[in-house]
Amino acid sequence: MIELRDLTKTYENVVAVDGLTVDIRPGVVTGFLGPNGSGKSTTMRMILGLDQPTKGSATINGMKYHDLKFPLREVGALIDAKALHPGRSARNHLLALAASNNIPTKRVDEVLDIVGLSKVAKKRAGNFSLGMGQRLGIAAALLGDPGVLLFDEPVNGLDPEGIRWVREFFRGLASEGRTVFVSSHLMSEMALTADDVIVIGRGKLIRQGKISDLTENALGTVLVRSPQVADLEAALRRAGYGVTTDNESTLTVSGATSEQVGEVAHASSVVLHELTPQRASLEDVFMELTADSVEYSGAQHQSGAEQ
Amino acid sequence: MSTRITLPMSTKAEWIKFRSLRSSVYSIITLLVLTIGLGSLITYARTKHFGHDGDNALGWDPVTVSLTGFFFAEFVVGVVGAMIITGEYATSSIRTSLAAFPRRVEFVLSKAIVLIGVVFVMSEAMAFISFFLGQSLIKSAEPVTGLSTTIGATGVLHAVIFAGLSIVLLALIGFGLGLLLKRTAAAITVFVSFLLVAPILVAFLPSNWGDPITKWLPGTLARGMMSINRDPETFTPNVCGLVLLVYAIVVIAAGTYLFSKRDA
Repeated sequence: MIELRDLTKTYENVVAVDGLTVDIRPGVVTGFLGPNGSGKSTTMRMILGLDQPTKGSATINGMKYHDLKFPLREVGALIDAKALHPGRSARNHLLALAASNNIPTKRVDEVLDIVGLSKVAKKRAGNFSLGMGQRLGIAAALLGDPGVLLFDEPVNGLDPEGIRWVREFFRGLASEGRTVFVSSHLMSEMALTADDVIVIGRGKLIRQGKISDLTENALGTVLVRSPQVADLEAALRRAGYGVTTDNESTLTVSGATSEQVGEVAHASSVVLHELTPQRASLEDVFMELTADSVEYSGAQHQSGAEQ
Repeated sequence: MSTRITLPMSTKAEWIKFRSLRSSVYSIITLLVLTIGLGSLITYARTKHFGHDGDNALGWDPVTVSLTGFFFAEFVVGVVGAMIITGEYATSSIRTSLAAFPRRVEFVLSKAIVLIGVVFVMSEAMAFISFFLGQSLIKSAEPVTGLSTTIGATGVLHAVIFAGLSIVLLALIGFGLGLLLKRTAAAITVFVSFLLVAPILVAFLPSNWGDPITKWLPGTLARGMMSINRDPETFTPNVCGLVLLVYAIVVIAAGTYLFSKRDA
């Protein structure tokens, strides 16, 4: 369990994380979504005690990171696949980490095996591809067999097979009762991996909940094709729905279900050739949710320039 | 079974990090070879030309002459000291390290222990090898007798041991600058400024201004620690060592303070 309470980080005049209060529960994969620069990495660094919060707190199982007895045995983190010395071999990198937390050497070979890097364990990590670097980062996170795992953009640089492996791997870790917190800007990826989702924009919490609720609650649009487009459009507008004309025979209706559109067409005796609900993808939902924060960011810059 | 991370655990981790880098291993070996090699070469040349360039029996310090290579070591060891921390910032592996061991003061202490251990062994080996090699070269080449000395002569053993310690202290000053400044280039620039550039600038001052400054400079103090014919303008070897130790403690304390406040 990770608990964030009013977690805030301010750099000079920029608010990177703004009063974040959320619980990240064990047993599920929690996706951490937000546009670039929305404060995801800063939040993760504060959870790991690397950056000091300006205000508020982040605790792991009720403890501040700094107070954990053996941090790697309670929290495993992949914050940056490149956060290692390129001149050191994968195995030595892990050996040093293991030594600091009194983790036996045989565990190093185990995690290398789990992520499939045993064959290149003696090679310099600097020569690893991004995907191999991610695997090494995941191996480091697993070293202490921790109950809480944090991954910042873990699928970056992975090939499709690697992505599928990571996805199943995370779900497996969560099903063992661990807390798995994964940040990403790839919504489609989170739709397949995460159970819960936390969406932030400009450091503020925008939405938190089950990923299924997020897409269901978002109203989709309905595509209608009809030879009597003009009549249908007038009728739909009278009913108070939003209509955009795509071409001379197709309309996109927003704010209505396909049943409602069908009933309006029937009531005004319009022939329909097609009636298709357009389900909102998580990507659409995300864009809709974060649109304000992105616009806000533009306005911020302008006012900054005026000062 | 201890209940939390102990100093031996974090020190072992730092030792693995140090020995698993080719750059640190090579820099130590190169340093050893060059210091001894250059020292021997210069010792031989100076002995051969004794009396030509102002070397005379009065100013001749056979210990300092045989340890001439230490000028080179003083510079390189500062870089080694700085790099054990600035290297972590440059590669951002500092984040991985601090996530594994978040107690920062103890983290600094573990690094300092490894640095002291490695540099101490290397610099004392360097001092004794340079000394014995140097004395035998002086003996074989000496144009007048009595130029060489023995380890048993008054103050000689002390001077040779202190020569090694001066290198350890300079490594610690480099480490402290690395903690303070985060960047390798910045740390090296400041280190070299005090070690090499400051004496040149001070040399331009009138001597009644310059001399009181010169004796406080780290290069002068390091030299003072290993000399047996004391320059009256400098401190005794023990005081030189003490002042240099205070410098190292001050720089590391300031660096540790900033390091523990700063976001990684």
